Amino acid sequence: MNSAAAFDPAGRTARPWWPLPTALLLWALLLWGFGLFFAAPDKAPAVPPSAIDARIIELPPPPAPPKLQPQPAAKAPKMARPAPVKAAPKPAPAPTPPKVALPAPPVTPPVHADPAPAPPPPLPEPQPDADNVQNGTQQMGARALYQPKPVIPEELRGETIHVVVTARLHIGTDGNVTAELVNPAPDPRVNQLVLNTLKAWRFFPAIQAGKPVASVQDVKVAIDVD
Amino acid sequence: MQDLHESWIALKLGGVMILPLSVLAVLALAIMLEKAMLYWRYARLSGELLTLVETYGFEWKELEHKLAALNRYHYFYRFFSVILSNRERPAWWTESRAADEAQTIETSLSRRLWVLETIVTAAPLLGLMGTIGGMMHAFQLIGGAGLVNPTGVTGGVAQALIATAVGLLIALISLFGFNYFSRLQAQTMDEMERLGTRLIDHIRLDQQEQGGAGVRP
Repeated sequence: MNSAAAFDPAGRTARPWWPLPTALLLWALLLWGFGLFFAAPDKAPAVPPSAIDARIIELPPPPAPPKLQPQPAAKAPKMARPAPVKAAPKPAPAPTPPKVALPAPPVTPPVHADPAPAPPPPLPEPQPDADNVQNGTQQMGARALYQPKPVIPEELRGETIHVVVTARLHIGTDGNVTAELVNPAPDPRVNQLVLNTLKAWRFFPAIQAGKPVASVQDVKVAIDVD
Repeated sequence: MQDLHESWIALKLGGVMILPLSVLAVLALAIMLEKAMLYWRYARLSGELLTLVETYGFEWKELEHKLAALNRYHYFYRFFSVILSNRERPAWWTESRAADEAQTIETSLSRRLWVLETIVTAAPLLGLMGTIGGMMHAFQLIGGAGLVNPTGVTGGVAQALIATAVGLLIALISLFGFNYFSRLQAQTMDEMERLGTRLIDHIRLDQQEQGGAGVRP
């Protein structure tokens, strides 16, 4: 024969090992670049924080006040005095608590959050009704004395938040407050903010038979950050 | 490191569809890299060998000499070797063996191209699945309790868009790769057929010059 027989016609295709690892590396690089491309808009200069509005809205107290001695009929018209629920879009100076009228349901004036910490409002002196003081047998709901507003922290100002949190306040006989969330917000940071704010509140305790008693109030806190 | 972290955060918005899309992308890239290597190393024909086969003054000895310098995995080495080892036999026999070898080589060249073609179609569909998932998530957030979590809604939309964009990117890369390597395969097979025909012609010519001693072309 000739030298052609020396050729190996059964040669098969080479199977290199490196395409798969190289492809993995390439894809990782591509993903990196892709991710950087999508992450880039986050580096845009942050706009100054705009309107931040946090409101606290009073709810009627869920538990009925404990039964007392029957009230004189002459005082009945004074009982029905629902607290107004207001919502102001702009931060405003701390409102002055309303005059105390007895017997009245607990009154929690609307409170708005300030972008910056605001000085606490002056503590109004409790003004018990003269009649009640005289006979010492009337009942009186707890009244807020010190209601600092929620101060939106820096980390939340960059986000858009429209949420209403319902909190239950357990007001002790000393006027201190223990707060729990009845209807919390999805964001735990908002919940923490509301809880921290409400814990700082101080009340004039509810009065029964001339003595301070513990009471419960529900409060709606609306947090609006645009 | 910060860049890596930001990339990771952005890609996490793409949702679970990023994982199957990544598998498809790695497969497509691996196939294209393998094909590129095969064509670069085992399917390119030197100008000298081409000139030798296609011009007058062809010598079998010279062809053997040039083939010996080729890699044994080279497709043209395999093809020419079949013709060389059968060139003493009748031309129809050699032609049939060469056609068989060309068929084997074509199968080898088109190996896994179907995967590339499937990825071209499947990657955008997977991206669309991500779109649907992201949109459903966003609308669930709105419909569940009102617009209480705008960040979640925009996150869902971003998830949808990122999955779609990744799917389209993979499909585009795979489409270019599939078309390019399909074209290369067709060119290689055309060249192989043309050169094989020349060599068979040389065999027929040699057998005629030898007086056709019982061998019918």
